Amino acid sequence: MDSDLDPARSRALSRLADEFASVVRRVGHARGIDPGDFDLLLQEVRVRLWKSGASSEKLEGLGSSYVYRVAMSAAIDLLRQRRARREETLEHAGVTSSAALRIEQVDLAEQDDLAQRMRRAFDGMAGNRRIVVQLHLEGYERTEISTMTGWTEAKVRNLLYRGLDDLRAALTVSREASE
Amino acid sequence: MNDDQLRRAYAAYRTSAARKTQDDSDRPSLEDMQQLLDGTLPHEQREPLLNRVLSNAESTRELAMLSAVSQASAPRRSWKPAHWWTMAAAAVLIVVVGPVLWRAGEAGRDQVYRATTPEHADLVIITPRQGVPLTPGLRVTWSSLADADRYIVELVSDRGDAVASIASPDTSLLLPDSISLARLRSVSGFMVVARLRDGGQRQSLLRLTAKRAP
Repeated sequence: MDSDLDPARSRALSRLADEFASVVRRVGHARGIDPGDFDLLLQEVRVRLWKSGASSEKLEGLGSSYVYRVAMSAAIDLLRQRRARREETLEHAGVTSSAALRIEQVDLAEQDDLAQRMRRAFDGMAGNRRIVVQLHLEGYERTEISTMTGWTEAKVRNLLYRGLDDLRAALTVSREASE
Repeated sequence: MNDDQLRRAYAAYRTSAARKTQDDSDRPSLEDMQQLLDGTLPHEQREPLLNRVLSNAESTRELAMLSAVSQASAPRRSWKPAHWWTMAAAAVLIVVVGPVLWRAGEAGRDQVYRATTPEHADLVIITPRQGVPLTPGLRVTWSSLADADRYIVELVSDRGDAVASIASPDTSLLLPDSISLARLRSVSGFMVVARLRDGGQRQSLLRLTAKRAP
């Protein structure tokens, strides 16, 4: 695609796209996003940046705000297409878990039991603690949780520690009850 | 229960939730998720939205993807010094080295130095300021270049497409009524390109605009 570009523009485009791709891959890996989704997204972002300007100066001048809009718009379009197609199988959705959550195969009955106990534990928790704990277990940083919820980082930290304590206690009780 | 056991239990919960048939009728909109991530969603809507996202495996995945994109491309909102001692070292350098450099500068004050500027720094958009939505009749003005014979205002969407190009021999123009509001709604920013008499061109930085509500 870049063969018709002048070298300066090609370099500017590559640098912009590479910087974006490296962070997306790093964060996405931690969040358990399918690498195939990235490839589509990164290609789309690259195309849109390529279409956005005719010269290296323009690419150099594009601020991070513009890259943010282009990338977000591309991601939302891709996800919207996926929603419209509804072709994704439940099996596919089931294998996505963040890098921190990937575990060896376990007995299915044991896994279902764990899931049931976790669900009951979540059901018994205060709503704000459950949200913070779940986001934490999904791999979000406290600063991100704070931005999303609008709560201060101190409140998020407090909710997280108390929520994790609640969760551990509930799971321990349910395990002892089942033994 | 240690962290590993907790994560193992959560992984089982997530897998189980994903295996269940999802009720997709109540899935949050992608735009709401974007607002959640950049912190612009109204406060009272955040907790209910997070509840809906986290109770749906597919929405949780979508939020994760948007979050990765957001982190990779979001404007830096703040700057924090890495260590207090880097600031202290900088202050010491200014105090110790500053007077020496100042005296050296005084010795050569009859020489003239010019700052170097990026190539696009000499073509600057004056109005409208950043974040103003574009409307027909709005005046766009920019600085002049001595060797320019005409200027082109390029309106671009966040898809990177050129929405419209308007030429002017002057350093300002009014956005024409012929550009429909629908087209202006898709505009995410604009820039000014100067065509030079020697066949070259210079351009301004991209100026972001606010999108008009539909």
